[in-house]
Amino acid sequence: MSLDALISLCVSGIVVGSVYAMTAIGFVVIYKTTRVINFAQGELMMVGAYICLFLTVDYKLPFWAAFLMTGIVCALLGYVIERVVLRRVIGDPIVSVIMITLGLGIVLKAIVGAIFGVDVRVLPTPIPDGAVSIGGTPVSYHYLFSMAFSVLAMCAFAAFFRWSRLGLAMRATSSDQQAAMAMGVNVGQIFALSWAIACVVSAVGGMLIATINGVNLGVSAFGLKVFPVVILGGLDSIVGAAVGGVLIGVLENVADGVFKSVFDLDGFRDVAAFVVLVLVLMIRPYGLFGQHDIERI
Amino acid sequence: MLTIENIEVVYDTYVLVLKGLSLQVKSGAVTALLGANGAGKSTTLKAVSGLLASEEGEVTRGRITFDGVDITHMSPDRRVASGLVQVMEGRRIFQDLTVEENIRIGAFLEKDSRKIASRRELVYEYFPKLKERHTQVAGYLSGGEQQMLAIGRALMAGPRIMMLDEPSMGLSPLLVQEVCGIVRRLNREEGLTILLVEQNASFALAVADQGYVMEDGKVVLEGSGAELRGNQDVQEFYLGAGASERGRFSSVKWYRRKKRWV
Ligand SMILES: Nc1ncnc2c1ncn2[C@@H]1O[C@H](COP(=O)(O)OP(=O)(O)OP(=O)(O)O)[C@@H](O)[C@H]1O
Ligand SMILES: [Mg+2]
Repeated sequence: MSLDALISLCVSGIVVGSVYAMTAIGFVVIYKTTRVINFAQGELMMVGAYICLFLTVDYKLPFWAAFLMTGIVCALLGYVIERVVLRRVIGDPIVSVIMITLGLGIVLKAIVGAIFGVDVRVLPTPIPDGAVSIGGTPVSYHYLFSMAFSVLAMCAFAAFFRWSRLGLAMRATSSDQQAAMAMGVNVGQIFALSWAIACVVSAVGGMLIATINGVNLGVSAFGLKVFPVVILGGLDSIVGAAVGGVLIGVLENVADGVFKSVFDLDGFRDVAAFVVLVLVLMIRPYGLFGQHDIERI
Repeated sequence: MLTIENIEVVYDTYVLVLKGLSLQVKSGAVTALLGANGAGKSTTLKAVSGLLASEEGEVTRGRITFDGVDITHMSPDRRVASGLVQVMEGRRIFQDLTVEENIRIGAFLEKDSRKIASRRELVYEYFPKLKERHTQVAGYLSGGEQQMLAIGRALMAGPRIMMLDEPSMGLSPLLVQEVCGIVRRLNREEGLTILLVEQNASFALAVADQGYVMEDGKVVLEGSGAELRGNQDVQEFYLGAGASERGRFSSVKWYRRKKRWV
């Protein structure tokens, strides 16, 4: 395998990885503030992609307006999901909460499938076809856009958590819920806010994937990648999610390429990420950036 | 200013912890609430601050009024907004946030940035050590500094009544003295009304204008600070006096006193 091929695999790995990273942040935000493990993350990505498709194709909204609208709609969706479904199971055993998020995923998938069917559809975007050359490797504008947007979104979140009043309240809540309550933080609102944020982030991730791969129910499969990412980075670490996302993206791409060219084996991409997951669980169960005392799932 | 009338508190729908407790906190005064482990002191404070709900606790009878307003079932954030702020037992600072961030979150409900700035100044004036370490992660502060941070954080909320739950817990005698001085200063100089829960009765009664002793979910004794300091039972059980007399008669006396209190 040539060096050029390797570099190109790394570049596309970084691109996909940055989308994983952003989506994983949504997962971590929910886990940090509410200790819920959200198995519906991928379906939320899919919902985002379909809403955007619906708004651009059926409603003929310009892509950017649809992008923005999808974000708003998904924020509301997240808020409602928390209020209506998850608020009722606060404090229930972790297994039943997991079941509920799994069920939520199945329901979302069924609804979307019933409305839109199962065919792959193209999400029309104003992003031109073609590629720029980065260090000799051609990178398509679609890829470049996805990566730039993910990185931008992650920077915005970092700033939000570091400096804003609500971001601080979210961190305080995740550190000590009752103490945050004693300072006048309405913890219920913080829970709903985390779900709203997670839904927006997932929707954006879904839309970005859709600009590259098109829209179908398979978008939800990307949600599964959140698990190797957060296990690698640490369930409760936002930085970990960002770094883990990029690492997993690069790793699975390179592993896939290597297995294809050396052993002539196809489809190692998805396996690679989960091999990493198992290894990390064995060696460093709290992840690269996670806190040691974190409970295992 | 704050009146608790005959409240009953139940945890998990059937564990009765407060059994008709009444007390009053007068504006501008330091009120002490004493009692042995498990008497229900912290539960009383949580009933007033509204944190009970987060522990499956509930006020099932009686009422709590603050400036004439019934707050028995008000949400905790509205109570903080109205000036009722609790410093919880065991400090409970946000360990993984910096000192400065802990201070900032104290003023979560305050929108006026000038007020926030002047409160922060006040806090750093009271606790210069916190200012020195304001960029440090709060979990690495010493126990005493953490207690100061917990008090400073509560000050940021602009309280009218500050409820302190065992601020002397785990502190060396010298630091207890310091906390004692701070409580007194906050009361005299800032005009802050204070409700002080303590195991350390000598510290609490040294600053208190008014005191209550509770046992098993009820108030069994009340009086001014001076009265309680002079009270023989309080001296014996809480201030450690008379330990030498405790020879043969002690068990008998214990029994009699206990009966009278329960
Ligand atoms: N969340 C809870 N659920 C059930 N029972 C509780 C809960 N919190 C406290 N209790 C019980 O209520 C009683 C009073 O507890 P509380 O914490 O109010 O006592 P305290 O006077 O503050 O004691 P200490 O001096 O040890 O802090 C205890 O018997 C305790 O076991
Ligand atoms: Mg207590």
